Amino acid sequence: MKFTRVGDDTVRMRLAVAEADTLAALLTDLVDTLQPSGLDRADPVYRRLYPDGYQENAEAADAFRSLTESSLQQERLGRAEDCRAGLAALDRTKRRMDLSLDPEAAQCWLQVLNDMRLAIGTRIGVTEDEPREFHADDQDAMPRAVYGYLSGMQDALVQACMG
Amino acid sequence: MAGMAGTLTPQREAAEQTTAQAWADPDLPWITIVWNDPINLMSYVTHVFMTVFGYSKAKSETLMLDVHQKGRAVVSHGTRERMELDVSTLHGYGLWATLQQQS
Repeated sequence: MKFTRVGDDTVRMRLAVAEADTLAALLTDLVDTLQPSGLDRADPVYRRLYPDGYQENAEAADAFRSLTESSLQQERLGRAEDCRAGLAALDRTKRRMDLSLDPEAAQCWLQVLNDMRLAIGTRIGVTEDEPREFHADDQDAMPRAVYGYLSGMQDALVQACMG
Repeated sequence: MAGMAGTLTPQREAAEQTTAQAWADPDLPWITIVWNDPINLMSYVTHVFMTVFGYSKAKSETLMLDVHQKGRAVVSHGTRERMELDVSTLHGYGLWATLQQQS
């Protein structure tokens, strides 16, 4: 994966085929997770994606949630679908594939990568100490590796956007 | 669900009315706080502050470092309605944000 600033405000995202396939699968997981029926409201991932807006005031937090939750859900789903559509439109006969991201598309990818990291990171309980040393007997070794990959990808995209 | 259709504005006013009695001094300003978390990248949080609030890179980095090192930072202040908008915007970016009255 490589991000290159092209011109004033466009970022080119270059992906290997295997990366595009993995990202497409992760996006499908994210879209499933973000469905209104996708997560129990007590699920830590749900609480992380839609945190309380008020602390120590349950009534205000509930009122705030009822105002903001469904529009946040729709925005998250829309962004994930947009990224998925961008990947689906790529020419898979090539070894490397380029996506040209205008500022809006780059912002969309940043937020979707962050949503994936929030979901996976919360599920495996990441701490400030990530990345951890690899342990073969870690049952979360695979999602931990994916999380690290997505973190590197998001950071590279932020740097490219900042120029 | 209340927020399913329509705009946020009239519903925000309704929420204000239902919970207004919970706040002691209506004249105190409101603040938006961002809390530290182990997932959001420092570079991304800086970028979000620049994008959402239009802050300079230097100011955004200072706020980000406050979040990272002190555990929290006040990132904006204003009316309660405005702070609710800021908090929901930051939630859309995946940051852990809350609003409260300045004490």
